Amino acid sequence: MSETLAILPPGHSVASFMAVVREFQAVIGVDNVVVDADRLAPYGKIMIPDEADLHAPAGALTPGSTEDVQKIMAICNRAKVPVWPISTGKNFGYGTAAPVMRGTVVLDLRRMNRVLEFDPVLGTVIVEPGCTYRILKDYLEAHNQPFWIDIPGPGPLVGPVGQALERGMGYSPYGDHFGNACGFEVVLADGQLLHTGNSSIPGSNTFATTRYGYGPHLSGIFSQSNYGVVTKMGLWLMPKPEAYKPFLVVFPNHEDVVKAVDIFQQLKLHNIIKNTPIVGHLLYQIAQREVRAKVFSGTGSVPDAWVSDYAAKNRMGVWACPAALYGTKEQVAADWARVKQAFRGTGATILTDLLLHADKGWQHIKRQLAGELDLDEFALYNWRGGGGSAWFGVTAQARGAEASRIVTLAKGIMKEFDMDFMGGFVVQAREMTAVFDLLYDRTDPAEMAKAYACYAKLLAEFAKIGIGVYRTNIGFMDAAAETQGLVRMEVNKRIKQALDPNGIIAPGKSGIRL
Amino acid sequence: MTSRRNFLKGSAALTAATGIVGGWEMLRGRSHVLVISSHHNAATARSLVAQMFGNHKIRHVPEHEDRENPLRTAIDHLRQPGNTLVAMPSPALHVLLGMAIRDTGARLVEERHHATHPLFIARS
Repeated sequence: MSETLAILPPGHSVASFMAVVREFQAVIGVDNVVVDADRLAPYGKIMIPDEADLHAPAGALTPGSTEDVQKIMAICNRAKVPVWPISTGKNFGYGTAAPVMRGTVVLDLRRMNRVLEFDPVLGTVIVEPGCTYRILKDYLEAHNQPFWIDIPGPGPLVGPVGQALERGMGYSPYGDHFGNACGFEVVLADGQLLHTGNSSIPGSNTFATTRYGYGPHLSGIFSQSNYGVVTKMGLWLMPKPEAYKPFLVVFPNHEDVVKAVDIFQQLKLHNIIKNTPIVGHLLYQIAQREVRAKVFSGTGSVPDAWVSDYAAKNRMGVWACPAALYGTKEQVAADWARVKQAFRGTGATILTDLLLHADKGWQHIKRQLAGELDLDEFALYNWRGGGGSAWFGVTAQARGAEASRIVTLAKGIMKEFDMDFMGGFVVQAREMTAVFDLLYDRTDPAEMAKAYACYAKLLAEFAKIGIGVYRTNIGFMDAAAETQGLVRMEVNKRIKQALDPNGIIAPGKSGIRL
Repeated sequence: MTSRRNFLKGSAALTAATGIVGGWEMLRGRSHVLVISSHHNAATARSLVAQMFGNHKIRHVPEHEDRENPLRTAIDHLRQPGNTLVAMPSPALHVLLGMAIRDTGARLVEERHHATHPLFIARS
């Protein structure tokens, strides 16, 4: 086996690492310790425009319980072997399962995939990190429970714990995934077990119900961080609404993004629309239907004029925003009247399920808004082919003018590197998140270099105007951290020093390392 | 049964088509081969692998526009020891099948990008 150990944790020899591997095997069994190259290779597969070799793991461990994780952490802490915890490891476009630092051992929690508790009165579940949305949905359906789940784009493959910890977003009124998580069980670097909220009190039953409890609110420091390994999480579920009315608002022109964001922001602020509306650019929809080479013969980025032409020929809008109303029949009827009033005279068109029923893309959106699972969104990767994807997402004030400023800056940079502008704005009452997917051919070194340069410039230029990312990939975590300044970085580091003095948990995550 | 002649013929044809040399050697003698391909690549995938194994040993799952069915089939297949997966999927399904290989603990034997489509082989 030692001959296949091409990659080692920093500071380790083959002999010293093999000694640790044997300790891992004694704890979780030989089959759950992966160090041979051909089984390890899939853990190092990435879609981001960075060299996979820089992020190649030294091994992967698949523990089956919290106790296993505690024992592993105790070994790692003593032997100074760094680990990269993943829940399902499908962080597509952000690094998938690969670590920031080469030689880190992936701690793959996918075998810990149970729904541990469900409370039908309080609408809570407690799940393990490997529990996917598919497992959760099947559980609720098998128990005939009237609750909906909120899902991200990759739907059935990923799970609530990873989504919440990365602060991902969904589509229903429960689309703030971290905001609807309550209660974390965390294995610390020395193997100790922490429960957040008041659930550290013996006999407490408030794990999934009480977010704050007494003292500092600790839950937040375990998201997008490397301060512990989350092994259980509570999640709040949305009761199935009596009435559900999905609809699509379509805007014909590029500059309409201003009014689209402004109107949806007001509808959110006044709680008319309760879900997470996404003002999306047409190219994102086109990319899920077409292969780029078949529909676009030009060079460089797809220009606005081409998008306008496609929109006109296919009777689509340049910007479109799916949204839905949820509640009692009376509430939905009242809210629907307010929605129609809000868009009257704006040039926008409101399309309902009745009109859109036959459209495949709409069927996918309608499923998403109701927490139904599919893999339709993966069609995006057929647009250019070659398996390259890097999500760039920034947070800003929810104003139309701000959206316009973001579009102008992003498009200009993307055009410079021949990238297509595709994505949109997740509009909340006060904040919005702009998310764009840089799709490129990862098998083409020149295209990968352009995608890397484009991402780097986007990060730098947006920071210059005070707009920061909400999340980034494993290749840009240091750069993103630097945009937040020295004080913020130093505080992150001090917390790391206190909780993980040997720096063994996910070194480099969010730019935090000792 | 597949003769050595047919195997070599198929292997040579596949090598010519894909540039893959080594990976196919291990397929010989394996009794359960699952071939997954996009609709676009179905004929190529079927004929090349059939030359090596004979049709009775191959199960072919077309991708069409559905991704969840071939993904589940691949996972079920790779959970059985000693099975082989040959895939010529769309770029979208390629991403997903890569995850299936990892989640089942299978071995990634060969992976190449050929012209418009990726091609890879895994075994459990």
